[in-house]
Amino acid sequence: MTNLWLFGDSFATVRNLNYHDLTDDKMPQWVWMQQVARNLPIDTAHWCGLPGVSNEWIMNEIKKYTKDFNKGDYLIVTSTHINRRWFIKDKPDLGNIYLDNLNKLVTKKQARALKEYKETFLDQHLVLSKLYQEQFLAWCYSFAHTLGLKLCLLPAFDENPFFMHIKQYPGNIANSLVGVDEAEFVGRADKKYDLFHACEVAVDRRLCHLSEPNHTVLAQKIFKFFKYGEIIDLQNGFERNLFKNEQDVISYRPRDV
Amino acid sequence: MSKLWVFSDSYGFLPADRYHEWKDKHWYRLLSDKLGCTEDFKSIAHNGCANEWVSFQIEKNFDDIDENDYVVVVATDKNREWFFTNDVGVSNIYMHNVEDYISKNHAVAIDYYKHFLKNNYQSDIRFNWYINYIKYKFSNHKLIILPGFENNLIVFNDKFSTKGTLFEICQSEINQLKHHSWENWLRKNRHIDPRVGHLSYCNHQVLSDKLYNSFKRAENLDLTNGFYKDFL
Repeated sequence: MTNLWLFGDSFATVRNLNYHDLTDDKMPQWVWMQQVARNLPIDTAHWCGLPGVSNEWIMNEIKKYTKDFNKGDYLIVTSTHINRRWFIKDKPDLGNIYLDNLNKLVTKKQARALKEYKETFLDQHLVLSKLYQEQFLAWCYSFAHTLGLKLCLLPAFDENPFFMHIKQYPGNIANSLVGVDEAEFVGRADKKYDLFHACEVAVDRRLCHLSEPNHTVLAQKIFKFFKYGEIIDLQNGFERNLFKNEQDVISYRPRDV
Repeated sequence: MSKLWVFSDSYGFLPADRYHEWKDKHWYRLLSDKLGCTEDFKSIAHNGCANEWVSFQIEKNFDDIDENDYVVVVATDKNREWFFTNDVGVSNIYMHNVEDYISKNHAVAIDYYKHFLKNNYQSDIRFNWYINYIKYKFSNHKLIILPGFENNLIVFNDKFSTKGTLFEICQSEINQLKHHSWENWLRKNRHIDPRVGHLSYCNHQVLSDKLYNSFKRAENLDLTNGFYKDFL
């Protein structure tokens, strides 16, 4: 039996605070992982994503299923932002320690500990983030190699030469899933956050931070990587400038949700 | 000719004030000679450092390491963390007197961190990442990973089995540990281990022999047997 496994952050799950009843078991057919699953010769698909998590949580989830993987299974991992940490065990979704309202979501003592940590060790936190990312990616390759899995590592935020099947660009060209997400907005990242702020939309209404046409583009690229070994280019081929103004953001509603 | 590279915590450290006495006796020097390596072996090591500092050093030096070179990486305590960029040795935040080495503000932050943010599962996850990162990074080199403190979480070396830890050799030399704890023994010595690399010379020799045999013949690396014991 061949399985498809997906682990990751908010790019790997349809869970979204705007749609409380939406779970990965009930995701629309056009969502990228569903499209990948339909195209691959698999028997079952397993989804394991959670918004806001760190790579530590992702690794922990992958490891939990070690005995369930079969040789030849497909494993997709979205590697999340390098600065996230799994500091609070029962709240893995609070990996982003720079979240605005973090204090309201943790105990007073945890909040104080996070404040002290950020104020005292910020520079070193950034140094460690880069080291941890390389170590996490190396672990993924090693894990997949040991179990004979076909691995597709996708950079959600931060690029790294360790993403060997992702097209590398020189300079500061964003070549990650968040790059695809931000390019959907006219004016890219700055405009995206301005619009969210202006609309008082706290949470992205898109599923996996992408609009429907880009789910299809991403799914095709992943499929071609698995089938033909094609390098994945996250910079080209995607739809851009889909959101121009506040109305576009407010009126957005994903199909079949 | 090949070169020996050692990345380590105190087990691979040779203090400057004991350099002349120990430069030809340390396990890595003995190993380098046995392997027929060049004289200019490299030991990049620091007392009390964390694995993160070691991986930073590996990244920094990686381009200079030839595929024919030998590499030994000592994996240190999984709970150490590289908090202070320049005070590399203050990574053991559970050290009894850690506050003597850092400012009051740092001590407060560390204390909160230890109590509310630091968890063993994080240390286990990162330790697992780290060991796999080393294996991956040096997959084309001749590599041995030496367990410093833990050997129950992961396979350290794929070509042979690895039993025990350097800490076990270090402790087994001390006869008094039958009656006292390691902490008490250290306290009696004013918190300074008088040995270099936490081993006596006789065990530096044994360790270098074992590492040589693992490198050359893929012999299992047993750190629990064959060492001199109970003589301190």
